[in-house]
Amino acid sequence: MGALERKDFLACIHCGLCLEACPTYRETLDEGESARGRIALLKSLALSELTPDADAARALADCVLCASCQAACPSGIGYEWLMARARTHLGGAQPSGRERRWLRRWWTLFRRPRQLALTLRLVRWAAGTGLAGLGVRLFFPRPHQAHYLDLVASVRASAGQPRRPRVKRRADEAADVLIFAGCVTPVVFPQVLAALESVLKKAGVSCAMPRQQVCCGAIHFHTGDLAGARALARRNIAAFEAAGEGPVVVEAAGCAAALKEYGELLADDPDFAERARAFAARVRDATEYLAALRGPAAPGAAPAETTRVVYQDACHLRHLQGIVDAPRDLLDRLPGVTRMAAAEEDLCCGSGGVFNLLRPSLAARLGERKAEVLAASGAEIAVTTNPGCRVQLEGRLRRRGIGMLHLIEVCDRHWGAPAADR
Amino acid sequence: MNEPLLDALEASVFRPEITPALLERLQRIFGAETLRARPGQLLPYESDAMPLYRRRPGFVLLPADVATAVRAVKVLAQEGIPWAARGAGTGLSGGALAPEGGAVLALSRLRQIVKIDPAARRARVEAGVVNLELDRALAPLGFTFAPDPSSQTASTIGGNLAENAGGPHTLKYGVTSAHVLGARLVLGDGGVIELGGEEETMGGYDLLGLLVGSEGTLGLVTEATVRLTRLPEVTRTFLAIFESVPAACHAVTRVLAAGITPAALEMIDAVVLDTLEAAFRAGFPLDAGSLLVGDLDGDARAVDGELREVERLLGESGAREVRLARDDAEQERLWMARKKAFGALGRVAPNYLSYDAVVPRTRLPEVLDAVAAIAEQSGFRIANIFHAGDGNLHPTVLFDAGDPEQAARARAAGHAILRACLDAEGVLTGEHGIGLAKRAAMREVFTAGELTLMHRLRRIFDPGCQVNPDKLLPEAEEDRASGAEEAGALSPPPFRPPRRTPTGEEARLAEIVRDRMERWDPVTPWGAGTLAVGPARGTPLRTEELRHLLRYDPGDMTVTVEAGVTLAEIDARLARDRQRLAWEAPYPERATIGGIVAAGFWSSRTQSLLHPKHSVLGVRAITGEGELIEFGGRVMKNVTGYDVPKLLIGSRGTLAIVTRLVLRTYPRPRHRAVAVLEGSWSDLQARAAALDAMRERWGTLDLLAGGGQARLIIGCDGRTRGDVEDRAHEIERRLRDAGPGEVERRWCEDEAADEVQRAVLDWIGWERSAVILRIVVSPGAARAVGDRVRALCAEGEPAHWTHRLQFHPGIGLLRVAFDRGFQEAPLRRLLLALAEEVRKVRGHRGLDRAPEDRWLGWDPWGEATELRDRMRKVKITFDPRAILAPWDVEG
Repeated sequence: MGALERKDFLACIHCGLCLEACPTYRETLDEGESARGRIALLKSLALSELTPDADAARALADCVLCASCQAACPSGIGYEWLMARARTHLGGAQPSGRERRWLRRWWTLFRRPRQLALTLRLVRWAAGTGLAGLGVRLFFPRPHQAHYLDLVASVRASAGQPRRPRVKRRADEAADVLIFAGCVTPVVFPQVLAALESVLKKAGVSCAMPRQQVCCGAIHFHTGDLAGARALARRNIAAFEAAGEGPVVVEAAGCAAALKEYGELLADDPDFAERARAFAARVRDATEYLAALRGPAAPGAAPAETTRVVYQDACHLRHLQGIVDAPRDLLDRLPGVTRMAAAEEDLCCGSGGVFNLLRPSLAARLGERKAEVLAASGAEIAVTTNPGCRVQLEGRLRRRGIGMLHLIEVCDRHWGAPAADR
Repeated sequence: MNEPLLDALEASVFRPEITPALLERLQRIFGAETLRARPGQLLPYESDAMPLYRRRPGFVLLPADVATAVRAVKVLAQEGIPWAARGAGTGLSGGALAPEGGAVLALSRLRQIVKIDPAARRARVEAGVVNLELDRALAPLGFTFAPDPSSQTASTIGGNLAENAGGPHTLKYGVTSAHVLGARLVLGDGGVIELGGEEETMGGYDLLGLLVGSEGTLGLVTEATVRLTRLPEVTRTFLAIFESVPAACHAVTRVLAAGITPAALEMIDAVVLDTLEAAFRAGFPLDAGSLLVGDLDGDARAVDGELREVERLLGESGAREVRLARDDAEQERLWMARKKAFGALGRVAPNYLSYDAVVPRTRLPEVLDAVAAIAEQSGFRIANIFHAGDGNLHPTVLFDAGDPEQAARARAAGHAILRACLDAEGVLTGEHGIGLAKRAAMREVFTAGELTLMHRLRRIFDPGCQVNPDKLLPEAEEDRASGAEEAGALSPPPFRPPRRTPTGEEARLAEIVRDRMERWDPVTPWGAGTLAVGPARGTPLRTEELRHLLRYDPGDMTVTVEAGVTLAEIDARLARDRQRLAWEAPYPERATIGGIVAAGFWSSRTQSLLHPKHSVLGVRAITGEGELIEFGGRVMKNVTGYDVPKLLIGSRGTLAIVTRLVLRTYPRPRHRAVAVLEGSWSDLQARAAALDAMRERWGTLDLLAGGGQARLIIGCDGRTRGDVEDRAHEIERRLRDAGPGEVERRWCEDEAADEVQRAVLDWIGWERSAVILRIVVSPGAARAVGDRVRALCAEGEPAHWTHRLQFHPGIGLLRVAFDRGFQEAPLRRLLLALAEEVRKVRGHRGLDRAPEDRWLGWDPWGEATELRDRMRKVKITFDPRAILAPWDVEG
């Protein structure tokens, strides 16, 4: 799975059905910023028909990797992998020198869980105290300050949440499910994990969170560090093999999508190929797991009023995992919740992993567009399934008087008392 | 007839280079947001959806709004740079490629829906609005934009207009040309003209009809006014499974012959069924020989009846199984599988060559057989996924262009396919257009004279040869490489031009015209004169010897007639097979079809069938230079070259003498009913308005007034007696709800109903009237205009004139007839007042009959001044010495 060749592009017949699905095309209406345009650029670079230049690099770096083009493509082109490999191997598609240096720091950081947690705690503290906002105003380029301040606001909104203790796995206890917590959620949105445990408890499901887990590697995979992604994958597979055999429930859609692809990621590794496939088969996104649980036996007390919510599709839940209806059904079945309809459901919010850090102007445009559309639905709460989306959107939504919760939190609030028995 | 001078002129047009200085100037004018000039930015614009053709533009402009787009054209004109417009780049003929040394003008940012007017059933949109986005905006209001090409999730209205896009639902609803009623056109020099508006027709020559399908060679369309079609009450989708392709073809013919017009009827053959099923999981059985996917839509009960009948017919034709989609989700899955099928072919092979030929429906089996034989010989898989109902096939050769041997073999297979289609009376392209890909083949289907005619028409709009100059028409030099990438280019062997062999009578008429040309002595083409504006001026050139009904193919639903055949004769022949024309006229025993088409006569039937001009599939005519030209063919869809027939319809013989017509036939409804209501004008207007919302496909409305009386004739038809009864009940219900008071009415059916309709056709009194005015306005303004006209005309009666009114509010058509013996001066004042009323609503008006001395001041065309210059040039193109009825063009 090395350099890109002609045969990697054969599936694209240039039909253009991906155009309207691509968020950067919808924003710019420039063919160069569309999925089809990017495939054309990649192909030309791979076949050496185009000298790598700044424009091609920018157009390719502008890809959010939401994979909505992949979902729309009738030819089944594996766009996500194409771009990942290109960012790793193909000059002209790889991150620029400056970006690469910045990314390297993150790549290394994300491989060291304790240092990462410390850094994120620092960020959270800075957001909560207002220092982060001050830092943005002092050091960040003026045109992008509003965008970064929105991101800080999202973190700040949860800064007051109590840090939850990590559930330790006791050697003599087998848990029903294992939880993959990801990097961001335990520090920035700890309440979501608490809600997950609460919901599982109500449904009579026990859970444990293996301590040896590390970053899922999605960011490495998507930004051009395939080797790093593989290294993390191996560590996670080992950690979860040791921890049990049950389903691996993942709260963050982006992580779930990445974990489900471990089979392909390590397909060329003789030691891990089979183990990776087996692991990937255990992975469940929290939404699909909860949807399958079918709710507790006894519904909670009928609420006095309903909350109007609007569901926001995380791209890696909708386009990569193909989960569209389950979370909506879940919300529809909750008492006390009315689900509002929003336009442009399939359009990315602009979070894209580190995309909203590296590409502030495009990310801001997409974020504002999504926030407007969600606000227009008339909902009071937007419901997300991914911390990345939450960081991108919560600050913006709050400015519009709308709150944001994870789907798990909503379920926790509206599912009743624990069932007497399973 | 050769035009060496024209060729030399074209070849010698100076093309300045795109220099850095020029790019700098553009950067200053447009800014970095709009200009793309560097290789990495330009590469994505090298091709449309047919990547075998690539050409890097010198630069690309992406105007953010209409004003900037107009500015861009002006600047390009000043700089002398040729350009091509681009919508979403989903075209399949290389039409959006930049000309050599030229630029691309991308309109993807012009996405505004300017206005939606449900009452008038019109919408105004910018050229970059995506087809499906328009549908999404219309759906909550109960409307749709009918043309639904498979690319509709990405393609733009501007692109649909440029290519006269088709799609599965054109079978029932017509191609894009039938749904575009107005367009704002920016010409090569930056001037802006408006063609048409909200009305059913534009006044004068149908320049709008010429524009649609002109592949962006006449100018830049920035905005268009489109027709809104009411969403049907129900749509039922079915899937029929056959063991073989011929069986499915025969089934298609049987269904249509039974008088049922499905909304869509598509065929998918076995070659790629496994791929489609893997991609879309729509439930396609992998062992089928072929599949038919179709839609029936309309009122719930009528559709249920049709569905039962269709199931029966499909079964009798050998369908192994007929499945009905049980819900919306299944319906969507089936159609998605069909619409995205082309994209899925990417899973089978890296490249494809797709053809877009249209043949008469009954010849599909033989053509598909030929394609299968070619597949076997060449060793390639050739998939067929196409519009079986229209006879529009898309044989698709799947191969790998990376292997030069394969590429050559695939091209050869493609030529063989095209040859087989053309041999079966086919045309080059039904919806994808000529573009770059099929230019050279144009010499195969058009004579040099016809190509020159099209060149000249183009020059009227683009004298500077800057607007998409290298598309649609072949190169001046034979077989010169076009500069596009040769890989997979469809470069056919030297083609033989076709021969137009005139019949004896055609030769005689042509000789007369040539003789007249020498002597600069005009003639008036003349049929029976029933619809002529006045008595023949100068020498009439009679068409009565052109009196043969040449062929009638009920299975193909086409009839080929000479111009002098009477309408009654055609009707009688068609009636035996339960079919009819879209054309109707008073005095059918005398009126010739050539005359009716030349007059462009339209009336009630347009309400249920679309304007009859869309039923003219082919035309043969003698120009003012005595040359025989032929456009079109015996096929349902055709975008091969310019839509010249549209210019000839309604041209009153001033452009050419039509000698032969190929017309589409339609099922004759088995059961008809008519209600005649008497009452006051205003009361009947109100009731007509209440009926306006009834489904448009089965009803007609005529509001007649004269001599102090008014009458409303309501017609409805149906396939079964039950259908007609249902519709009659609905009419009754709406009439009751429309207002208090009983309105006296009587119903009659079938033959009696036909009698009434015949009488209505000539109620205006074509033979006895001295003056007949024709007023055409937007349906949104029609009611008010009708009231005003009625009031103004009533003021003068009976002192100054007697008059009659015939009004069709739903299509915005109004005719006023005045008997002989009117007083001139008051009538003149009236005409001025009426002209003002029409001008206020931006409609148009003309004379359908006028006294010999045309001093009444209403010119026959009534056309806006800005277009008259171009109309005059069109006239000169066909008739340089003004031999053909020149007095009918000047006013």
